[in-house]
Amino acid sequence: MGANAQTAVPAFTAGQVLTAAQMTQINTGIPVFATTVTRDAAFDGAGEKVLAQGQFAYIEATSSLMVYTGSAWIVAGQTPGFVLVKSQIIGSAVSSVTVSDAFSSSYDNYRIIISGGVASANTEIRMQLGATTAAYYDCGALSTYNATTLSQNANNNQASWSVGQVSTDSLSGIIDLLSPNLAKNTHMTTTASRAQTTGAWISYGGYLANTTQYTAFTIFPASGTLTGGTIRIYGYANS
Amino acid sequence: MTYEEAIAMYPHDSVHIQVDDVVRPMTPKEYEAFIERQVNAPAP
Repeated sequence: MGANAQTAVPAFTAGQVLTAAQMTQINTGIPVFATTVTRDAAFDGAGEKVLAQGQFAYIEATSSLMVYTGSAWIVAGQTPGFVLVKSQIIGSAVSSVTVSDAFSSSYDNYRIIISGGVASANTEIRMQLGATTAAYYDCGALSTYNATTLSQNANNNQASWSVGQVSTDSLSGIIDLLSPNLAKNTHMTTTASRAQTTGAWISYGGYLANTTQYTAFTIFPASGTLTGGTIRIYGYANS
Repeated sequence: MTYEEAIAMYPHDSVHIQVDDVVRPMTPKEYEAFIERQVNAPAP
């Protein structure tokens, strides 16, 4: 318990003579508590302040500022629009990485970022949802660093989506998925760039033509293996 | 890349499958599919 932590929020009576210690206690601004347990014990007791809407409290254990809504304590401030759902470190010389429990009913839409690490070959990263190996549609633009030509790419009813670029330097993929856990078609948009002098930038979009509700996905390079790097999955807050 | 070249470049015991934090060797069927992927891989 820190020097500012308190165990009571006192209420004083008319005409009461306050001690220096009592004055110090109420001079701390937002009351500081070691845990939510000591916070809850500090209100509504004999000689304590009645807990009411608008009461703030700082919790040392979680370094969080909380406010009472009138019925519950919530973390003060705005709810983040992006929430990290899961972070998966890629192993050594793996031909594929399956990430389970990535999607749920908590969020309708997700962002997946693949970065760091290395690949054994300069190629693209592909993605499958769950165990589905058909009905992936995507198309988009591709441009190489050593040419000004913009190429178009179309994949009709394939076994996976093209979602990223990898090289012997690093992995790259910024993928948005809409509705992977809803009983609707899943939409995909992605952008990625390959760290290779003759590499490419891509921007693809597509969808998966089924209404399966997915919780997991798998990524794999079109050839070779991946080593290191991180796959981070974020949920877009629904409200 | 030919089938023989793919096997020479990626021996069975040098490549793995990862599911969450678990990295394991490939089954023979998974390795066969992996080698097929190397043979049919798009140009880099």
